[in-house]
Amino acid sequence: MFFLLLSFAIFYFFMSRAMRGRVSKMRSLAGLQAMPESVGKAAETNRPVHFTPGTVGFTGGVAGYAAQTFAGLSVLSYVSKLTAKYKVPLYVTVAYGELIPVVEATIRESYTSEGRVDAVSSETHVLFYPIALSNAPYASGVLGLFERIRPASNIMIGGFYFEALAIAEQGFVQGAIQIAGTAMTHQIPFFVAACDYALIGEEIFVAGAIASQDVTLLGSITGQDVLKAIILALLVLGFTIQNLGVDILSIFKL
Amino acid sequence: MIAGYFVRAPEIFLEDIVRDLSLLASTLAGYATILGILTLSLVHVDHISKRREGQWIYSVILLALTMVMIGVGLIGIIGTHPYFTWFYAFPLTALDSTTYSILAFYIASAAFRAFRIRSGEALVLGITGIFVMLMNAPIGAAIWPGFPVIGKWIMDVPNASAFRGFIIGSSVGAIAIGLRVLIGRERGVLGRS
Repeated sequence: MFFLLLSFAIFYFFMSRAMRGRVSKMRSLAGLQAMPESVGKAAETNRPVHFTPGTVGFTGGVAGYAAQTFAGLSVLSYVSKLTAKYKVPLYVTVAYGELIPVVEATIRESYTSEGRVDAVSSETHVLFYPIALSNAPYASGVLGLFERIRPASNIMIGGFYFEALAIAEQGFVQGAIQIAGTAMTHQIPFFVAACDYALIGEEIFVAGAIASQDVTLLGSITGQDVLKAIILALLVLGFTIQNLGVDILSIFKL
Repeated sequence: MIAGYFVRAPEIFLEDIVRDLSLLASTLAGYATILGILTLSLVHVDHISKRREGQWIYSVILLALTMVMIGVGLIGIIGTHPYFTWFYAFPLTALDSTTYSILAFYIASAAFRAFRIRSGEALVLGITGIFVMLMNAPIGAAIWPGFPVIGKWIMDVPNASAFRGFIIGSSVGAIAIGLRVLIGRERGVLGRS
């Protein structure tokens, strides 16, 4: 609890600092930089873009990973602005019903901001492939969709399970530029192997913030780095104290 | 909800509040599933009405099977009807396992591309991959007893350290995005700009 409150305090401090104009320099993410290129390729080849915010919902047993879905939706906001700008059809597939209104609202807002709200019904498609026994129905639904629409760009950001590799390989077969990111440890190697660009772990949580160039969000990224530095310092301190013969682990009942 | 995770306070009925909120979220998600089925049906009715080539026949099958599953589910509204159990245990499980098993071929094709040695990093990946695979395969120890030892070291030391760093980074990122959503600063989500 203490650590969570400390984290909130650090994030809030750096967000406020950024709002006062003190924004740290951000390193670029190759996957994020490739998104305009991939949507551009879709425009040139007259083929659509596929996006998925992952196969994790907001409720139930998988809700613990919902932060990844939020990260995916944040990137969707950026991608849908690009598709609105380049007039490219956008297909978004979701695995949970509760994501449909959220995805639709995100897309509508992006198209509105690009002055193309009238194109939402004709150029964007939110498709629901529900999860049943496992994620197989979602996976097979997306594989079939890829055969039909042959996307020029496949962007997958969020929490994924086994379907990650199946979709990414099918995207490769269709010749799509593929950008994928997840914080699911067991799926990252598949994305690295099968996709052109991979956002690894925490990169998905900052991609939307960097894409938006919102100073407040950029401030929170600085807070993340500071928090990681504190964790690293605590690790080194704990390691040193433990090796000096003081049983610090017993204090934390580890 | 956050307080309920960390604080035990029976005197203010915190557990009850958390349980009720969780139930509310699950109920809302249930209604959202109905919305999802409606959306799915509308999309596929559109395919059928416009006779979309290469699509409409699959839409017919999908809608028919959806209706069948809902129908047999409603027959056994009190308890599970044997028809529902049959549909669940035989066609659905078999189809599910089939889709899952396709993964073996996808892994092979992805590994073929990933293990092509075109750079120094790819060489390191290839060598470590060989050691870890031969650690897991019984033939590894038969070829050379060092394979399991080195493979285990790779998993326990470099892999475990990278894994922990990754977990720390991801957890911090998840907390950050959680805060941004809670205070309404994550504007891309929920259709705000």
